[in-house]
Amino acid sequence: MKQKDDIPRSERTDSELFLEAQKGDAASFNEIFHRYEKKVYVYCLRVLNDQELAHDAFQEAFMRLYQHRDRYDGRTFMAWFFTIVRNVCLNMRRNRKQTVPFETSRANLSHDRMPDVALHQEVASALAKLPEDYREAIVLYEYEGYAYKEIAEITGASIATVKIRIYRARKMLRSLLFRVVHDNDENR
Amino acid sequence: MTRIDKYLERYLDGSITEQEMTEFRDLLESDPRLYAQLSETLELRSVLHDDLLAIEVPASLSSSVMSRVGADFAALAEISSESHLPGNDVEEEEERRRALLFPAFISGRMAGSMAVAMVMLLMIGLTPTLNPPTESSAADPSFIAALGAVANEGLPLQRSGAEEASGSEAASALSALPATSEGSRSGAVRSIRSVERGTIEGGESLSTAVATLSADLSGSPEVPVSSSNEFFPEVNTAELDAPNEMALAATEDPLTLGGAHRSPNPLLLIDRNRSLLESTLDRFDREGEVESDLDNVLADVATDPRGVTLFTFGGGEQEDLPQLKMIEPVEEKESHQRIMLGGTLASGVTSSSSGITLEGSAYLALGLGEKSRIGLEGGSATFRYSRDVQVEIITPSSRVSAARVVVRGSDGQEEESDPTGLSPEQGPRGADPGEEPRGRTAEEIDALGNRDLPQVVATGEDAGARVNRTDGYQVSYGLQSEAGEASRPYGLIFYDHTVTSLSDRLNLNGRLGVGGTDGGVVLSARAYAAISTHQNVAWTIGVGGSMLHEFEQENDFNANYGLNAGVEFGF
Repeated sequence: MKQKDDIPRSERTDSELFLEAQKGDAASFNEIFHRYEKKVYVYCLRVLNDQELAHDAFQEAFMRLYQHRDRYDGRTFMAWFFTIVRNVCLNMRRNRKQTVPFETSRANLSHDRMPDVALHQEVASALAKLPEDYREAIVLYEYEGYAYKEIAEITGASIATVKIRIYRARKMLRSLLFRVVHDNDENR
Repeated sequence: MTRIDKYLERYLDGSITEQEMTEFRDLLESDPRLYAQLSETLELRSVLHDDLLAIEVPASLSSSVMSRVGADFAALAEISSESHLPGNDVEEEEERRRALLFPAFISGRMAGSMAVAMVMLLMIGLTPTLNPPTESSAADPSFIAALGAVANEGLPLQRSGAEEASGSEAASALSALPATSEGSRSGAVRSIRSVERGTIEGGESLSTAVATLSADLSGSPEVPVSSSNEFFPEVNTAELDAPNEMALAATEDPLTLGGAHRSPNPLLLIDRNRSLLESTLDRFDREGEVESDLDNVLADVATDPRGVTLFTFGGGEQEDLPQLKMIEPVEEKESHQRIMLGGTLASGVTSSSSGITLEGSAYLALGLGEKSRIGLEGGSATFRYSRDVQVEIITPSSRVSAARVVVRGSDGQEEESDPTGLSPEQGPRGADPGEEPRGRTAEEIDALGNRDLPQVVATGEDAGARVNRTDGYQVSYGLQSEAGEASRPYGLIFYDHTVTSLSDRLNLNGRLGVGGTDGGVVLSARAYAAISTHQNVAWTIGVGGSMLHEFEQENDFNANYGLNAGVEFGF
């Protein structure tokens, strides 16, 4: 049987890694960071719909992860961390002076997908038109890949509510992105 | 959600059962629209997936955050190993002593901050005698240290080891400083740029940059540096007095929204019109635009007795500072202790009539928090009413049988006579023979000064007193039931609650009110949407109604309801 230390960090669970990080293992934190950086960034970017705020929220979320490290009680790390991320975004949104129209920065797009800038903008614009609850639910479901139960745990809503939000968000997006969806379909 | 929608959702999330799948497949084959819907949904997923792939975390942001937070975690290993050294029994003893001084719930950084604050307060008390307020202190090491501490507070990411200082340390240290200093404009500008770079790129720590700023402030008369014994009006006192974020971090639950509190940062930027530009340097413009025109715009640097350092811009040729983000000083009041003055116009119907009514009201509201407020409302509302009114019925005496009047003459003799003086065939004086009984017309009633009397059709059937007049008419008095609608002034006290916020500018609200009108109690309810078009202006539209119960009319509840729209202004 393998000892715990023999298991590569990449194969350890989030909870195991975070417990190691709490003891000062920077490599474990780095592994967690790599697992979550895109998830957190995408969530912040798509929920806040503001690149500058998303950057702030991203920094703040990881900073709070450190500040509140002692409060982690061993439950699902993903849900615990995303609750922090979510609260950071809520605070950012609350303190936002006014809605800043989303402008896509090429710096944020991977180089091999530059032709998709227009699509990126259309999706961002459509997501921005959704009610905040719907937007958050669809981002967690479609972008982050979380299950209804996990989203319910993060957002504090019931599973039924989460399902309804995702259903309605999807319905609205189908309508808002009608042209994009059909173009996409025809190009295949 | 229809049954088909449920199948579709279950199909998409993979939870569809075998039996449902069979039914779903049949439905797909029989309903082209469902097939199209499924196809669109799958394409939508594909589009969102493409969007996800296109997003990447900026490399600079990623490396910066990972290295800093990673370093914080790595530092825990050192703390952990040190805590197990034999010599650390002394620290444990010190911990126990601290516990005697501070309650158990005040621990760690808070306890340290309180201790430092107490020492600083003692120093503040001694400062006036040790250091006269007129003396320059810009180059004073304590000033530099204090600003550094402030900077650390404003940008916690850059905290590390020895640099760490609490907000209370910073505030105390700053407030202990003399109020006047001399400085250099170019030096300050250079340093602010450094601050900006430090914030954006993380190359230079904010504390170092601000320390440079404080050092540059000495020795040059280019910038008129002033002091103020008054608190800067732009500064939100409540915000400054609030516990700082560092302290909050020790107490707040990460799973609550406690982090909404802003850190009180004593570094403020204003323009020459004294509009607040930024309250924290770490939130200073991230795009680097600040650097473009700062050379000619820094006009003044001042520190007030609380230790708030104020940088004033706008002294150069530039008329305004469009490249800087503006913060309205009143913004924090927007959702809290605000006073709002509003007005509403409503149109609808009453419970008894389909006629359209028009009503108006004005109100004054006081915010109790983010979602609640109370207020007073006054206005005019239309209600149905029903009551008995007195009517007079005038009938030609000629039609009154056996009417007799005793006329007493001036000689004291009484004479019984026909009051008309005419034969029944001729009719009364002034009346056409054969005239039908009639009630008073509305004009006649108005002429009598009784505006409340309605237009009635007198039938002569009302019982009551009758008087034969000498002009040949008989007057009958009676009561007649009357119903109608009337506009009534009212006043009420109300409670407003924001049910949900659909966006930053659109809220759905409810209002309940209770009050009175002449002779009755008024209950009011309203649901409305409030749309903020400007910072202090909101437009409202909704539905609502009022109920009136009149004390003198038992069992007579009546109501009105309809649409309303209005505007309100915040102060």
